[in-house]
Amino acid sequence: MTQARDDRRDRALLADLAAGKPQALADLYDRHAAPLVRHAMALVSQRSDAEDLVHAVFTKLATTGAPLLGVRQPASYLHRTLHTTWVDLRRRAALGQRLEREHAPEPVVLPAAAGSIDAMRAIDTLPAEQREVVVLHVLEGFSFREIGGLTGVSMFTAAARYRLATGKLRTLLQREERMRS
Amino acid sequence: MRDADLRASIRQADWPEPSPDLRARVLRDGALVERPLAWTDRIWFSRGWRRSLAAATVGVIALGYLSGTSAIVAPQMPGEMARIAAIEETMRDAGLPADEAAIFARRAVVDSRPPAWSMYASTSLQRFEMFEMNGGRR
Repeated sequence: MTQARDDRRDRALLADLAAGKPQALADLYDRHAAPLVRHAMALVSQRSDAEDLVHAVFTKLATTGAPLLGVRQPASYLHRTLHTTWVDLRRRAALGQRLEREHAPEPVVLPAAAGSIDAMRAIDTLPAEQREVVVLHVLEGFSFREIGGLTGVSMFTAAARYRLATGKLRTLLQREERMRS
Repeated sequence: MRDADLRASIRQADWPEPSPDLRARVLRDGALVERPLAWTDRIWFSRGWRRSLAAATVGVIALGYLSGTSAIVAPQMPGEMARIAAIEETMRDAGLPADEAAIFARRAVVDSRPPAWSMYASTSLQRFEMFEMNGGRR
């Protein structure tokens, strides 16, 4: 799932995008859409909302222009843009309230009552901030320092969120294992 | 459950892939018009330019310190203003134009300053002598 980042290639694509070359947008999409969708799914549980977020990121990217030349770490830049877009959306009152209801941490459903629980459902029980750290660290290979930078918190906060999240996931998945055995 | 097992189960979970429709929407809404980038943009956003700008700023500040220009403009030692005025007056009396007399006077006073380390050394020496004279008492 985690792919080696090629910042040099991405920077060249961003430079082409700044010059308005349509192929650059397509190439950047092909390289980054899947990780961005996973990141977005960690923030909003609805697939359609996640895709709207990713769409907003690429639309912003297409209209940024020359400042793209100053981007040094394109992957971090894209994920940071996605995070800030999500924060902006949450702040808008009407949508914010709906998102709050959707993303409030759901009560943990015990396997005994709900049948089997897989990793995906276990992750869904976490608050959005913890899901985000898990996805960015485990799936996308970002360090806690990078995650802190792109989500606007310290690396210690990012690490603490990860520790909390993995503790809950471990508990849930171990219960599931015991149920099976 | 070990951390590696947990990570493996997270990676193996059924994560969604972007739909083909999303790609079409992005490429349609992000329709771009080719425009050549201005050379000013290329320079402004280039890492080399920013580094050289920072290096030049540091260089200018360092040169300012080394040249002592600011010391000439702003005399700080006690009695220096009086000495400058006296020298300036003498030079004017000798027939030098007023502005040249001012520059000369300031330069003469600043050049006669002892270096900072020797001032520190002489102060320390004085303190040591006082200490000795007091029989080892401060």
